[in-house]
Amino acid sequence: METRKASSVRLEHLTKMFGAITAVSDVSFEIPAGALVCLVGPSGCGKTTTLRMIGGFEEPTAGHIYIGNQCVDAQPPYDRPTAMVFQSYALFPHMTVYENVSYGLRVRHKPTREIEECVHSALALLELQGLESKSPRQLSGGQQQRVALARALVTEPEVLLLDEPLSNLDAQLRVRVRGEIRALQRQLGITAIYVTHDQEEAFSLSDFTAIMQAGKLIQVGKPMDIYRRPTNTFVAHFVGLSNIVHVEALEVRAQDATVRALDHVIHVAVPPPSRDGKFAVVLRPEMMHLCPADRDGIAARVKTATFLGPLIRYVVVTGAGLELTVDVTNPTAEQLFSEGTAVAVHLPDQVPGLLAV
Amino acid sequence: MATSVAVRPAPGTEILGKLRRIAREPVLALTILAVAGLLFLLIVYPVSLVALWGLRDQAGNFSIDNFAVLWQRPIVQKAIWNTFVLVLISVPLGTIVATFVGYVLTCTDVPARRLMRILITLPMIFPPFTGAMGLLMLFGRRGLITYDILGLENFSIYGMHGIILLQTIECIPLLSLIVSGTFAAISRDMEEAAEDLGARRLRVLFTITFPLALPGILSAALLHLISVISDFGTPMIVGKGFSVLAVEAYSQIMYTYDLALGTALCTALLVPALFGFIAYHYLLGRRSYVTVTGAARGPIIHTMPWFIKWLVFLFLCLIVFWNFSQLAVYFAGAFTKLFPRDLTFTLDHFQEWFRTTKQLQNSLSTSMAAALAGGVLAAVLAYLVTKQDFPGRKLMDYIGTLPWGIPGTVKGVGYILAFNFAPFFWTGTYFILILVNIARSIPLALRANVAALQQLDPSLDEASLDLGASRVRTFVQIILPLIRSSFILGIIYIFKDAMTNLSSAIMLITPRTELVYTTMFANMTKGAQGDALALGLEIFLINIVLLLLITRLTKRSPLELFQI
Ligand SMILES: Nc1ncnc2c1ncn2[C@@H]1O[C@H](COP(=O)(O)OP(=O)(O)OP(=O)(O)O)[C@@H](O)[C@H]1O
Ligand SMILES: [Mg+2]
Repeated sequence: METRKASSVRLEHLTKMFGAITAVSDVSFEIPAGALVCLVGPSGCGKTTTLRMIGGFEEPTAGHIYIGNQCVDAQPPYDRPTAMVFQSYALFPHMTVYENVSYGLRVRHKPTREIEECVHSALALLELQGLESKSPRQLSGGQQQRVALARALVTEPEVLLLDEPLSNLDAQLRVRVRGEIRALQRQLGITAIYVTHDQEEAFSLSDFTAIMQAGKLIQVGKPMDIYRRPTNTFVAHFVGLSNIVHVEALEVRAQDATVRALDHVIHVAVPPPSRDGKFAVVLRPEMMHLCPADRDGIAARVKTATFLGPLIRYVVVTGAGLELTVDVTNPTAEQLFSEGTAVAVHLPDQVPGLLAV
Repeated sequence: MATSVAVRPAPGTEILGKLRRIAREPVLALTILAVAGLLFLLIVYPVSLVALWGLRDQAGNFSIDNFAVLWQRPIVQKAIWNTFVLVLISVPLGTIVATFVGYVLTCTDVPARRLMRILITLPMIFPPFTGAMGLLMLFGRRGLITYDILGLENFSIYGMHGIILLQTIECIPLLSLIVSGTFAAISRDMEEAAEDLGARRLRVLFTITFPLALPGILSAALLHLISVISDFGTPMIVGKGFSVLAVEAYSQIMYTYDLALGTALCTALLVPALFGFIAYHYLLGRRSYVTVTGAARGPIIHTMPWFIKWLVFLFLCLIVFWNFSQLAVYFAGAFTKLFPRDLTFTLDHFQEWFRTTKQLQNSLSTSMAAALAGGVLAAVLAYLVTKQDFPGRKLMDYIGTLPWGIPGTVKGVGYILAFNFAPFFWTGTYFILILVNIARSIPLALRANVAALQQLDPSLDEASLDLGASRVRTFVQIILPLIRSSFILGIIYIFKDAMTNLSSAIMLITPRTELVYTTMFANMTKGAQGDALALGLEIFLINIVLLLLITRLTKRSPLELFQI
């Protein structure tokens, strides 16, 4: 299968209420054609609901959905150029693999020859040859997952919707299949929206990650930008271990700023998000170092030290009683600080961004 | 998964191993033997006698010829043919209507869905023969509508069309409930996936929804098949000359004392009913489609165009209206001199209550005894087949459920054959009524208890044994309390069933052991309409009390009493 027509997807002020519950609240963003966007957030934050509105299974309470500049609000699911991969796969148990995959083409009354060709190339693409006449329940989890994907792709959708497609697989298979999905999406150049609540999965897969909380879209961006410059404490914590340290603004300029954290002067590469002067910096554990107590740095005492293989994770307590998590990578036995030892914490001189608190 | 390559022992040694284990526990071994013996005596022995008698000639020798000769008698052929035609029309018709009702009540936005569902299922607790009596009073030869209002002279409700009408309307509550359950268990993901792939509503309905629901619809059809074949009361009352197997077998034995012919007819009755039963089991045993994937969120609720919606609503209203008008007529009949000829209010018919205290006593005591003994037997049997492993376990489970597939008439004849001779001579006793009631109703109680036991953590049982409690103690103090509500449910099932046992009881009673239900039936057939209705209301009252009791005792919905 060659590269497909891909469409951008635009959500405008999308809101969904279930009775008194607001499942999705005023979500707007645009997904460029051919991009893979991951929707992440804690359970119940409205990811599935958003996806189902794009697929046409839920009627938005307010707002509009555009696929490739065309408003699809009035289109029923079967007329939308979307294809969904369900978390449960939803393979039809009374049909064989071949019948499952060809279903979308058969309802479109495609000629038999064409159906055969499309199905075979889809099965080949997903390495499912030879399983045509098997029933779904004779397949392994990974195979079922790929059949579901083949069934969605064979209709040549402009947008692929995936709702936690890997959650039924074991950890190892998950990593492998997610690589396969990513490669396939790139190869076909199709627009994809991928729901997951695994932050690592989102980062490793997506061109853009959108983070939701309680029905709201909190932040959208490239994974690295989100990691480096979370807009609030929720995102900072959600995308990785964070030490959030309140700072005092020393100098605020148009392009950057200088702040003081724990008696240490830090340069910030971007201007602060607001003018009211209450800020914090996100200090990732890997941004800091520990040195023996006689060196320069912030005096602290080791509370716990946990050996994790490639790194040692320390929790230290500063003189002011603040707890910081510090990772020391590539640890050697000589550099080990045992619990209770006094140490100096070395803070970075520069951070990517500031949080408003 | 740990893949230890276990060497599978030969099947023979496996069975021996199981036997040895059981033999080490005499109480368990004896219980298994006793239960097996009871099942044989109550179910297998009488039923196989029916088939064997059909194969016996005057001299008592086995011969198939004889059987063949009997089958060529016009009376047999006619009964077979009529039953066949009845099944051919009644079963598909009832199944289609019930499937339609079940579908619209589960998967569409028909107005007042909840209320409709209740109103449609309510006839399951109506007094006995509401449909048949109502039909005769409204549409009979001197019926209110046909004679008084329309003035029809030549119209007759008697015959095949009357039977089909009644069977179809009366199957709707239970069958639509079963079908509803199947539709409700379909995962919404399946339908949405199909829609997402471009299939329109109707296409989804016919390529996804119905095929997925098919096993449930088929098992409902098979249950209906069994009940149509076995139905004795309806053809007896509105058949009039339209002879079916169940009625013909009864008449041959009770009126002409022709056991050979009777048993031949019974065999013809038994074979298709058993076939239906086996097919039903096979369907249930196959892995059901509807439980394949995880969290099912129920089917999509389809919105219908407004005119179809109201048309469907109208149809449901019609069914409800029909049922409740029959009930109204039933009450009217009980409280007037002779509905619809003489509409003077009277309580005279209720004197029948006082004339039949003996029958009521008989009914209550035989039903109670059957319920208690059968309830315990069902619980023990359920425990053995779910929690113990011994050769023949599956067979025992199967035989415990078998009476479902045996028409009441066959059971009645079987019991006459089995217990009218040495060493038993039990005909005419209360004892035989108790036994037949147990045999008749044990499947329901068994299934209720098995369902409850299957949900019990196996380690509970094992923990008790491990702590040193004996099998009996474990059963009484751990298992029974945990399955208490289904145990009670089982007892009440049997009681309710026994109170309204007609087809087999009618062959086993004597003037001394007459029952309320058989007396009511006799009243109906001899035209004492008001008296029959009064007795029907008496049974209705008892049922209502039972319903209240069951909700109090088990905290379950009374509707469960009627579910399979
Ligand atoms: N059909 C519905 N009726 C009522 N409330 C609903 C319905 N579907 C979702 N909700 C509610 O909307 C909110 C968002 O649900 P949604 O399924 O979108 O969450 P999610 O982000 O996908 O969560 P998860 O990660 O657990 O799948 C939840 O509070 C949920 O209870
Ligand atoms: Mg979800």
